[in-house]
Amino acid sequence: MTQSRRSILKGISLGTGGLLLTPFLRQVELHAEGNAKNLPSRFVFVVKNSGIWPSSITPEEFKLSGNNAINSSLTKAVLPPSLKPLEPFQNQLSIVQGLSGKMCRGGHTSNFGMLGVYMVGTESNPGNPLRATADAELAKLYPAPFNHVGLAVRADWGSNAYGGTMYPGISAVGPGKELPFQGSPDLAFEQLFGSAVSTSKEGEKRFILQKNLLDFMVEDIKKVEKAIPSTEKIKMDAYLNSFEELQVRHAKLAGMKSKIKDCAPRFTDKFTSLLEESRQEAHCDLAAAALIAGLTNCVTIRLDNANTVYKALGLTRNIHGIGHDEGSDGKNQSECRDIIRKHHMDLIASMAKKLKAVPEGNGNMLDNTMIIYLSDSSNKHHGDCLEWPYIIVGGCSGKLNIPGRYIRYPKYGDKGCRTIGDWWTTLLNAYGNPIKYYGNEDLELKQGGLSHAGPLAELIT
Amino acid sequence: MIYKRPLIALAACLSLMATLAFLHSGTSTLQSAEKKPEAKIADADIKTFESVIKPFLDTHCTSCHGSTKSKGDVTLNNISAKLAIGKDLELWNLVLKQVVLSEMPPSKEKQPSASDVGKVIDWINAELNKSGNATSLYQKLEHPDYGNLVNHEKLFSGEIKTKPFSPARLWRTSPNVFDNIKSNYGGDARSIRQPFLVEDRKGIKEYANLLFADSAVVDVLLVNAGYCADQLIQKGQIYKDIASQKSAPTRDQLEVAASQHFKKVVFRDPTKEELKNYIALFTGSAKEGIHSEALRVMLMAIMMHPESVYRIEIGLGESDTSGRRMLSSTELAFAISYAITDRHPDSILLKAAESGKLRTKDEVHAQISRMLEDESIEKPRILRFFQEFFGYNQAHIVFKDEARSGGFSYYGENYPVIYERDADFFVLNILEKDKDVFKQMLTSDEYFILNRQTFRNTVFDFYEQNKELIDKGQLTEEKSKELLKRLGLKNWKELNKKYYLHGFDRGFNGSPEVIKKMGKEIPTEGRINNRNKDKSYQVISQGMHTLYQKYPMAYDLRDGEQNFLLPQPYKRPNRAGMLTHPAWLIAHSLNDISDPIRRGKWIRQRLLAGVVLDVPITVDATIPEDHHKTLRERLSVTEAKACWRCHEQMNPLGYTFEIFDDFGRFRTEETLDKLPMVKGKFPSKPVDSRGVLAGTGEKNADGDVKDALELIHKMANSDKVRQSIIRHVFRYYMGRNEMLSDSMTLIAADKAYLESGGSFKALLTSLLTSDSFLYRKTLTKE
Repeated sequence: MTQSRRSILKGISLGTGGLLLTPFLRQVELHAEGNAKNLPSRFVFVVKNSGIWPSSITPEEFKLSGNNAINSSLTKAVLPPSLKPLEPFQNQLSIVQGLSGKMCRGGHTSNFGMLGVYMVGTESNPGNPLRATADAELAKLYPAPFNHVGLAVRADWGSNAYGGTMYPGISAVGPGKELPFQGSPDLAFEQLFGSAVSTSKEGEKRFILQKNLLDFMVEDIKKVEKAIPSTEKIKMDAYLNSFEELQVRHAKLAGMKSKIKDCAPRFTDKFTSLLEESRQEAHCDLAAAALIAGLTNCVTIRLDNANTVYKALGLTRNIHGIGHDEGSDGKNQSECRDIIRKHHMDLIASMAKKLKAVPEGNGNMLDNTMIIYLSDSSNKHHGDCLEWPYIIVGGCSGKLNIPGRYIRYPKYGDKGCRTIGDWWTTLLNAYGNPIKYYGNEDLELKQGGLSHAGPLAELIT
Repeated sequence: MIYKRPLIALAACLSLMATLAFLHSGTSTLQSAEKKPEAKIADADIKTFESVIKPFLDTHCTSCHGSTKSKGDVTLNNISAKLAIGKDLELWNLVLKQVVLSEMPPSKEKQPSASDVGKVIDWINAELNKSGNATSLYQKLEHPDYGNLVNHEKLFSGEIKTKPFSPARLWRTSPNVFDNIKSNYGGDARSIRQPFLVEDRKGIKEYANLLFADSAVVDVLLVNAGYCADQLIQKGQIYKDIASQKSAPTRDQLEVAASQHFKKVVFRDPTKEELKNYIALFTGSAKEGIHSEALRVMLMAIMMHPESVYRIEIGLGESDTSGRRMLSSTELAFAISYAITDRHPDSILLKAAESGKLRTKDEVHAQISRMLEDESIEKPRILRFFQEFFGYNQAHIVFKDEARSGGFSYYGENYPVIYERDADFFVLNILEKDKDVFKQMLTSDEYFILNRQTFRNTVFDFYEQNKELIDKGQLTEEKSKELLKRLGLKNWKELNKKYYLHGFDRGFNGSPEVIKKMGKEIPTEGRINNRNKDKSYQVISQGMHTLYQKYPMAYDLRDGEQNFLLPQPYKRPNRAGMLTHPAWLIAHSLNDISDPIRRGKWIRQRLLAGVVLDVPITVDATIPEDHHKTLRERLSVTEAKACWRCHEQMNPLGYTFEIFDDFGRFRTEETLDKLPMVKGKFPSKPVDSRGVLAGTGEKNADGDVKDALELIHKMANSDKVRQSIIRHVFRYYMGRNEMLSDSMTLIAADKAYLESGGSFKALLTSLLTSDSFLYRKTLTKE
């Protein structure tokens, strides 16, 4: 029986570590070989609150055709003014509209629903995640020392929390297991780059001391193990192995020191700023640098929530107030949204620019990246989930037929309409997870015979 | 390496039904077993086969399973000795199971000696291992889904006289205990995440042998420990001092710092050795020059101490002659406390342990009675048993179509969550009376129909009736108690535990001010949905907020048909107990249809102590689409001979629940809602809810039934059903499946329940003072 137990243990414990490290080493090798086909794909999920108005991101020329399905080149289109910062990347820009997500919770936030495709939680409580969200599933396909990095300016929808470890209720690495987000850019800097550079004396030591801690734990557990019946050692072994894995990761990070040092962003005031806009910038700097350093291949950024105030942009009303049409500083909701969106696009452009500057394979790193901008409340402040717009920048590793395209699906309930479950399935399939369908199915569409519950085949190369 | 379960009166001579059962499950697991290099024939232990095994089979088995007779199609006279190279694998697995579980030879036959049985088991296991096909039997025996593999009749026969015990073990910290102690770690409890997640599935979850502290746990522990250490260093004076002072901290300072936090998270004093190690960790780390960082490391190490992750229950008390050791007083204090509450032992329990007054069964009994009687001690584990056993707490996971239901709301509220809370009230109501508990669970008609609006409306109603007093702020204490009583509360602290209130209402404390405030807040127009636009008090107190308007439909109530003022319960027609509660029916349904097969399986396993085989891997378990047929008609595919062998165990039980639709509404006609409407209505067919209860072995119970209600009433009077539930109570409180050696514990528990007139408390007391709970034995391995 122990044999089977042992194999279970292997599965639950060693598995993750093995997975974490081997492919990662391989990636470093591939990097050097410049083997474009096998380069890792990277993902950045940029999540805003209060919805994305579909019409506000639709180029004029596509507005005329109403609700008809469109799949057209975007490279020459005139972008709405708030999207101007993305012009330099228009060849690799995609706008995807018309996908519904009625299997998710509507209202101020869908919580994990946006990326997990199910109904969960309330406005005051994100609830218990049912399964790993799509970003986490994608992260698993391209393991790295930090498999999935979460950065947040704000926590869950109604929270006033600011800084430190946060749980915004949008991303989960498994059932019941939420991804921890770092809310303080300076701490995130320390956690990601601390093995090679540090902003303070403390930080420098922290990485070194982590080794002491792990070594101590391993010895401590071994001592306890001696005192317990041999039949139960297997349980303590699971605990022991987990620390041994971390020891290995620690050693690997130490080995990457010079690369991490080269890629670390310059530590400036914005990393300790209390201003939301500056924190957002800092997080985006960190995200790009962590990708370039090879520390991670997947970052999810929670940009704002109901309580965010864009003071530096001249808006003194919070997101919730703006969403409820209260206006701010003489501007109406639509004008406020344009200002905020333009700022978000600046942030995305700054990341794209940095990635584009790094040669990789036969092109650059942006070719192998997908930056996805989306909202946890779908299409408006009180999202109805009838449509979930996405703005995407990056070459998507050549795996998707979307760079430089404007794509719109038929409206909800019309023939050919598709869902965000289909969308995340498409991404997972394209990047190597063969799942038949990811997420809960829209039962109403199913009743009406309109549910496909499968990938958007036309988008996969 | 094989664990040897101490076994009891065993034997050989194989037969029928169970045979097939095991062959089936055996095959599928064997196929999935890891490929190993094949053993060579030279490795096979033919000598032992010839000298021990063959004679054993000849003496005990082949008279029924041999050349002349082969009962159950099992023949053992020619069984191969070359199991090591995979010969007769399935057959040997079958023999192993029969012998391990004492299924064979039948009780009326001559029984082999325990030592002979041990030899047979050892040989089969050794040869199976050589073949690279280690049996899955032992693993299954530890898994909650296979608890019923242990023969029910044998367990309750009284023929087993082995002294019960639990294996010495580690048990991972329960998530609920962690929630209650996490504030001890330091820092804001909301920022401390749950490391000890258990899989969110139906059934009893916390099995000591299935829960590991793996890297998923460690990831969370590390984040928590780092956060808490930072908080402690910022806020705790002793830590702050060490971190900020220029000079190196004294040994005293460090010892105090380490012991203090150690005690908070490990619940004992550190040993001298441990203290020395922590201080060494600090000193070694302080070489890097920063005290705060060295302190941080030390605190983190303390918070991740192995004993804060696993509770170690190995039996440190006295040994007895049968190789068992009683739990020590300290082990007992924790075991009792974690069995009854989610907290670490209270001061009385700890004091008893420290002063040596927790060493005998009577002393344990006294503590358990005290805790069960003391109403100020919260006992959430009892309700949780019923949630996990019935699985009704999984209703919120089953998504129901809003349009199909005619208004099932998910936007503001998740209706199934509210039904789950209703079911909690249903259970608590029965537990409070503590009489014929299991029978009541199955048949009571006392339902509670509650939601957030019910609470507000009741407060409003109370306000309207006592307006003058309240407005003047002259509400007497006695009057206040009236409101508590109406809400079924002992005190206001209970409010948020029992009720699932909106954030706005969670601060309600029964003072005249808040009553008045809520009374005024109840909208008198607009949002209250009622056909009647009259703004009178009558309408308001009975009306439902639009969010909850359709909520009573799962109880077959039309909008506005009832006022839902407290106190309740309501009696509902066409219902009987938990299995007809909307929460149970939804939890055990699929998205757009009911689920007769799994409902049947549930009853077979949970209430009838039955074994249902694993679905063979070759079976494509899909229900054919046919929009002109009822679900039952479509399920007739399972009646093919090959399928029916298993489905007979499930379908005839599950079909009876077809009197409810998948939202839990009573029906006599099944709507064919995929056909086009005719005159604004979907076509329908009459429901066929006939079924069969089989397997209790009791004359008054077994037989045809016309629907679920008849089935339930028959089951409620069955001994086997009662015993089956008791087996599950045992599993929940012991954190493991029963073994045959637990027979005496189970029989005593059943007796205690019956003699007390069906008291759950009496049953619990019996289980928690049983040898199974008090004694440990280290299992041998080879």
